[in-house]
Amino acid sequence: MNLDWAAIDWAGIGYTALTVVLLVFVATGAVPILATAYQFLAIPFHSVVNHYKKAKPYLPRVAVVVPAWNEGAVIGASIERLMALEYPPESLRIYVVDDASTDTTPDVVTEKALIYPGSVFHLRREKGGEGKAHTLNHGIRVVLEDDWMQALLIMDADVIYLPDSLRRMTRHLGDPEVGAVTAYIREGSADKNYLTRFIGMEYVLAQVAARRAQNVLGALACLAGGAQLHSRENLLAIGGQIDTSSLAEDTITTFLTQLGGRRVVFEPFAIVLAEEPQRIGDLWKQRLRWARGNVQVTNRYRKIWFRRSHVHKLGSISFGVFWFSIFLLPVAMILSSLGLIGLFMLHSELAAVVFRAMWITAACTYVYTIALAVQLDVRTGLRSWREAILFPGTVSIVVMITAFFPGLLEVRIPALFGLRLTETGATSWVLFVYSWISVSMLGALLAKGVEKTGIGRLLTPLLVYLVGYGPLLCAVTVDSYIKEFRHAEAVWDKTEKIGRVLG
Amino acid sequence: MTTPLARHSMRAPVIPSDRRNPGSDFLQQELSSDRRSERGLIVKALLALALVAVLVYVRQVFFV
Repeated sequence: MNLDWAAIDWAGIGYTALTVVLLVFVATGAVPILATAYQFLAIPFHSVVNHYKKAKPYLPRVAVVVPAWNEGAVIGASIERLMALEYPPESLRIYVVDDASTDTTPDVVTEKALIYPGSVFHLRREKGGEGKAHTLNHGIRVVLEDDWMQALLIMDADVIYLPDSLRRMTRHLGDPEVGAVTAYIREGSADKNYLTRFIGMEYVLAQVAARRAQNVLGALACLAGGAQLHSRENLLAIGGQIDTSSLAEDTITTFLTQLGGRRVVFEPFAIVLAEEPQRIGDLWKQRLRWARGNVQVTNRYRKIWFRRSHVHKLGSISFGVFWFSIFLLPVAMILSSLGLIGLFMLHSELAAVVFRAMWITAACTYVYTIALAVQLDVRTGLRSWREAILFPGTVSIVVMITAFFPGLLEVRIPALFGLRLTETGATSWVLFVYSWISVSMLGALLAKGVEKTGIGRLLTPLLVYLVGYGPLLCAVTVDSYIKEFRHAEAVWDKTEKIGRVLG
Repeated sequence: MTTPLARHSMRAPVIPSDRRNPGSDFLQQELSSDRRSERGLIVKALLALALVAVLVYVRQVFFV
């Protein structure tokens, strides 16, 4: 039987195929939303699935390694805070690795070493500027020279440990299956501005909330750089040093620990205060380093993703979905917009259906995650309530309202003023809400661009409240793709700290 | 068998004389307390879910 090619409805097949492709595009935008919902729904299970039943009172001899480059303004207070920790003084040693500082850091540390002999040590690197990992390794080599150290605490010079934080971390190392423990880094600047409040809220979402879920699911993405406690056995098992080949040495250490079959635990009650950037330019520099590090980690461990292992859970589907939901979030956002606009252009009724389905899911996820997160750290939630509510951005909230309450913004509210949207106006509105998720990243870029101008002081916060904090981080991620693709020089741009944290 | 008095003494908070050497009893009590407080996560999650449910209800009643 001969096929009548001429009778085949090629246009219809093409239309259907294009519709399917566009639907897949939209679906990619739903993946990060569903992954977030799944992760946050796992949090209450931490009430049962946690490490407390295996933890026990345990106060090992802890060597604290503090990398310091020109930290004269903060290092003295940091040492004093460490010496005041509620931890046996005979089991605590502080090694400040001075990375060829040119300020008062060596003088301050030497003075503290004289005040606390046998407890505070000043290690000097004459050749500095190679990055945090090199600085840490200098200190780690020294503490491994004898058997005194049972656990190693890696921290930043500017962070402040609350008095009970270290002992809350060490109790997990009482279980030999645990290789490393991390704490909750809370934004602790005394002089907060809109950006530090957003960062504070981000840390509640990404640490207090998400890392509890990761505890439940058995794989942790990252030990906080300023608060990672390793057992001696784990440190030796990962090579007795910190990886120096990437910008994400803390994530590499986290992965190596878990790949070696040791657990990594997040301890939500161990709180460490940190000073975070007050300007988008500084935040961008810091996050670009992190994001480029994540690109490197994703590439380095390409053979573990979505591959089950009896040793670790980094290859589990859930962990892979979480990881790539963040790593590829900008791609998902752009594809989602393209899919919606494409369906709209095809005059497909599916456009409105999938838009509504996706943004209703986003709205429910947003309300649930924020409502849960502010309860997990009430102090930060109260201080940052505006940033909590406006975390996705005012415009995104308007888009969610458009999807969640159909007709409210387009019909009911204009009708209150005797207005009615024209057909052109309605089309423009639909195109705007469909494309917003991608456009928001451009808004974030604009916020960064105007920051240094005369109107930046007023306009930048306004833009961030409008476009949201999430799109700002997504824009940084896009920048990291570009920089990695171009093999741009990976420099260790340290964020300047001036001692704004008050414990 | 645990007597009521013994149960009471088990619940009595241990106050360390030296905060830097708090002792195993205090550390165990702190550990148990943190473990117990994690149970509150269920209530917190239910509250957050209730808020979502209210929004869904409003939508269903007034906008569908």
